Amino acid sequence: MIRPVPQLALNMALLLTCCVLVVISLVLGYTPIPAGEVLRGLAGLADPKTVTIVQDLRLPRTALALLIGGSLGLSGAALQGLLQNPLAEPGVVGVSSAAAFGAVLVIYFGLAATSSWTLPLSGMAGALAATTILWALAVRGAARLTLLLTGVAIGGLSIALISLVMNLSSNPWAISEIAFWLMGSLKDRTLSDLGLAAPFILIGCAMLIASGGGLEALTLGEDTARSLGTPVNRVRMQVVLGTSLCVGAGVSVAGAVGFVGLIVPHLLRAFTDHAPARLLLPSALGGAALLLTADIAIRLIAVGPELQLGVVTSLIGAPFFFALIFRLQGEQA
Amino acid sequence: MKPIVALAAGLAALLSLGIAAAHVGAGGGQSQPPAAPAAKPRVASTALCGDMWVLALADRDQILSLSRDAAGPSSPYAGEAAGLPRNRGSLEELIAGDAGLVVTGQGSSTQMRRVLGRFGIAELDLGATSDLQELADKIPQVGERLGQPERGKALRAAFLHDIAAAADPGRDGPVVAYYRPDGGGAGAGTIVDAALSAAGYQNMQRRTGPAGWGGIPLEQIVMTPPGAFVVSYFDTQPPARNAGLGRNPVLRRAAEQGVVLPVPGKLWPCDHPVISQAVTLLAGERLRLEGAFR
Repeated sequence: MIRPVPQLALNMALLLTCCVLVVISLVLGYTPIPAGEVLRGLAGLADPKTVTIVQDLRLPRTALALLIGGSLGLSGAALQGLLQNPLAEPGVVGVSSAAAFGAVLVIYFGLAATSSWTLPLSGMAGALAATTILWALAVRGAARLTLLLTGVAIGGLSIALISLVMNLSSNPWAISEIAFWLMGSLKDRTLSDLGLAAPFILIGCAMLIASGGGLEALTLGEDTARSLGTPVNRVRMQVVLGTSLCVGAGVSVAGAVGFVGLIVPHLLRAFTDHAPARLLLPSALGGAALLLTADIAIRLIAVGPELQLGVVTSLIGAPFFFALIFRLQGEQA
Repeated sequence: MKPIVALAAGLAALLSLGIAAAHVGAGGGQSQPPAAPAAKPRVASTALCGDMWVLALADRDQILSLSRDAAGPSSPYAGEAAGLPRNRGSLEELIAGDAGLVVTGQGSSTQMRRVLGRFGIAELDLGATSDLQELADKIPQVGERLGQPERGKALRAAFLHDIAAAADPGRDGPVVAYYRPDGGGAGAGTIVDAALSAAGYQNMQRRTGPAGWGGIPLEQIVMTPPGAFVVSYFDTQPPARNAGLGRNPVLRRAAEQGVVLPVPGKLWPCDHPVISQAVTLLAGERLRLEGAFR
């Protein structure tokens, strides 16, 4: 049986993991640069090429992996708390696919080149549309299963619409570009990509973290939560908007990266005594660690074309997830 | 709750300001307009089409690196690419290797193309064309950018000579259907359609099928069978299926009654002068076909 551990100890352990991963991520790349040079490059003291590679390529890539992974883990934990269903996750409830559809539309019509804002805005609009539908159903008191099924339908519709766009495209190169983009990647991302996504993701994360108390009260049931003075609708709104901002901005910069929001809260739930509010911060840190690990793994496999990030998160995450399920089953038996 | 949101919003604003400032600062050193092209720039390519142009026109010692496809089954220059360095398509490798020019086009990473200029690396965008004359005119332009104007002019002349030798403006040539292992074809607006016309054929899909790379409906092939099938990429796609149209009974029957003309996939994976070899090959087959029909 996994025992709950003190919140501070858990968060510090995860934070330490992230710090170690950040160092590895900065030292690893496509060109061999000694760790000392990387450090000097960070401070702007190395030769100009090293400074450019470290500051303008490796640093934004690492920061984006932390931010996007963290926001996905956090969104998963918050959605699972709100819908009180352990299967809820931006990918499972269709928010990621809807964001991807918004972004694909912009790529297809060539609007991505007009302004750097069109892609993230369209991604967030897609995510917002999906979360609004879920929220509207939740407000009407829909059963949790109905909400999940609706999410699956939203995801299915979004994937169908993305396929339609690919279907209508007569250019095989555009189709392969969309297909690869959907598998997620952080390759060659720069400070401007970070600057584009970071504000939205940080605001989204703050909204989700702030919803912790409300999510905690909601575990007692909606009526009880109301009688305790919890502004239930505002909590819902916070989670919905926060998830849209996080997932929409993340998908716009890095493509669709699945699985993080599903497995990270699961892996950590037992350590946090199954309390939704206590799960939020560890999920963010755990998500950041998972995505950064996946992105490091991509760079370690130095053969052939670069693997896509979404593929690797699933390859790393799924075995962990299976192991956890088998272990819990064993304990229950 | 509110103070936390306000704090986060403030942090986010600060961070974006910081990043913007860092960017402006960094930009001062990096986004100067690319200097006048060096005589023979150090050139790299990260996708097959770029590799093919570089290998056709550049000196070996000016090539920084090529994509891993440069020596793959779809590359007509696999032999020439042997021994040259390969890249994994990352910007980091191009910066570290002091690339002066990166040749991009179909298949190149959009993200890399978006940010190349910011790192002071010049880009030669090959674009796309489905017209052989436009392709001919592109050859000296690419040669010029690679610092190889004479080689560019010579390749243009050879290309136009091959195309002119293949042309048969005298009469309507045989009707052919073009077919790939993925079921696609080539209609109006594709370089394969231009090559078929240049070799003296009538492309069935141009007349009765969709434009672009989609295929002709099978029903159409059954109703009005073409004189021959031009098939390609059966040799380059693993696993090799040299049976060609054999997997589809309808196509197989149609092909048994007609003629199948295989074209090596590596002769037209991109709009590149090597396509003249496909035109020459097809024109030779046409003469044989017309002789058989006579």
